[in-house]
Amino acid sequence: MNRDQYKHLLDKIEPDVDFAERMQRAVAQRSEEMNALSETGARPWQTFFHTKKRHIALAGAMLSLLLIVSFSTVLLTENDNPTKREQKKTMNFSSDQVDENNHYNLPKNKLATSDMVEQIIYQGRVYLSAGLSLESGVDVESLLGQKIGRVSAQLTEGDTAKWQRNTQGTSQIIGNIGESDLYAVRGYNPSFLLAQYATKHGSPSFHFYQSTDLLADQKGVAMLSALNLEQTLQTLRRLDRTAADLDVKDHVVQTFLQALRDASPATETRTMLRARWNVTDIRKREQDIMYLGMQLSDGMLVHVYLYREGYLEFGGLSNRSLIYKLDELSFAKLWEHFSSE
Amino acid sequence: MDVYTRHTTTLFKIAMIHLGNSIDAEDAVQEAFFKHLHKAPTFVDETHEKAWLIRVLINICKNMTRSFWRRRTVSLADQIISIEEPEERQMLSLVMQLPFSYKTVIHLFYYEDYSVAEIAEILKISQSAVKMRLKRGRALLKWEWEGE
Repeated sequence: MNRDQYKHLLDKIEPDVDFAERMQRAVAQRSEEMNALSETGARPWQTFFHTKKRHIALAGAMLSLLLIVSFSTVLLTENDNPTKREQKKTMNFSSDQVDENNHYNLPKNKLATSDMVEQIIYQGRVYLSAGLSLESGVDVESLLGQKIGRVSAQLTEGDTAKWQRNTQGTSQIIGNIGESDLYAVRGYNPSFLLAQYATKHGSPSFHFYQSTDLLADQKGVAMLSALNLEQTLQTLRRLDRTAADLDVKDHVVQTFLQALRDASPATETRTMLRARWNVTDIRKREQDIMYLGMQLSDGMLVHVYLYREGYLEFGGLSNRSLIYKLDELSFAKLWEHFSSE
Repeated sequence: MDVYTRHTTTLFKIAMIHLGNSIDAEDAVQEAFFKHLHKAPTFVDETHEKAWLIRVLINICKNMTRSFWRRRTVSLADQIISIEEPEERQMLSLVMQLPFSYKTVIHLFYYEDYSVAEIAEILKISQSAVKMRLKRGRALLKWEWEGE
């Protein structure tokens, strides 16, 4: 990555159109409230219990009371049990966590590294951030399937294999995406696709996670089937620059689909393909790699990369991406179409 | 152009990078503007004003990330969801997972185009500390920042 790419990426994080105006109004309102307080001579704590936050204060007070009672009970119980008290002193503290003054040191933060992509492990399968998104205006609720469970944020670097073993045959979901609920996506097999439900500017939306574990080493037809592509594909379009869309009925698309159906998994990994072409040079990258979207009738947009010389990649995140080597002639027709302005 | 229009986008991006979700980011930016209204010094020019707001905002974000009440379900979903390309989503996710002080300097250097000296002045740290954070941030991201 270089400075331009970073800027390009961050340019996509934008406040909504009303943001500045909302800030101005909120700041003005707070100022008025503050002025009103100083005019009446009231202190903030005097008015606090007369504001809408009073329920927070009451809840806090009750919680504190509950904690004091619980804590006292624990202390009383423990004082009767010296063995347990001794056990607690040494429990879970390794020698490198306790210094010479017998002070407990917090463990060092386990930093996420670039190998630590967003990941979920469910029933022994690894799900990564998917090469799928929803077109704007799609009724998200219509795709919301059954709730699968809640992700427990326990996955740390290097734990993947362990959790793949431990989650087999269980309903446990482990991940590094924070604690959140996971759902099936209507029309898709949960062994392939799961979704995290989120809101974007107050509107519901999905973040998809896909597992390619069951599709790896299979022909392209397995991917077509998992995505229902042959039934639902409507158009193909280039996402990284302007080019004319291709309708599913177009001969070029039909030939391409047939080639993908018959395609075998490539022996090359994503890293190998990316190393073959200079992907950090944006202008050159456009000549060697194409970023396409496959628009489906249910509102899904399937993101794929085409690499010069006949490769198609679905997934786009790691070496768990699915990569196929397509028939050169069929691939060339598609490449030629999207190469022209 | 008022202070809100001038600096909202810059501040929102910085808050998003440090807090990871738009709700907290909005709270933080609002707090920074509130301080601007009530505590700001006299500014020499807009650049000075921007730098002051950035420093204040970063301190607010720092306090928020330490807060006990901070939302536990910090998720990038609400913004990452708007970035469709998987590769870009991953890059953004990784930037946001950097330690707080590293992503501050990475962002100010690579997005806001501040020099090492300017970042040192904004954050009130030494230039060598800025350089070290840039170096370590880049190393953690394992990115190749060509020619830099």
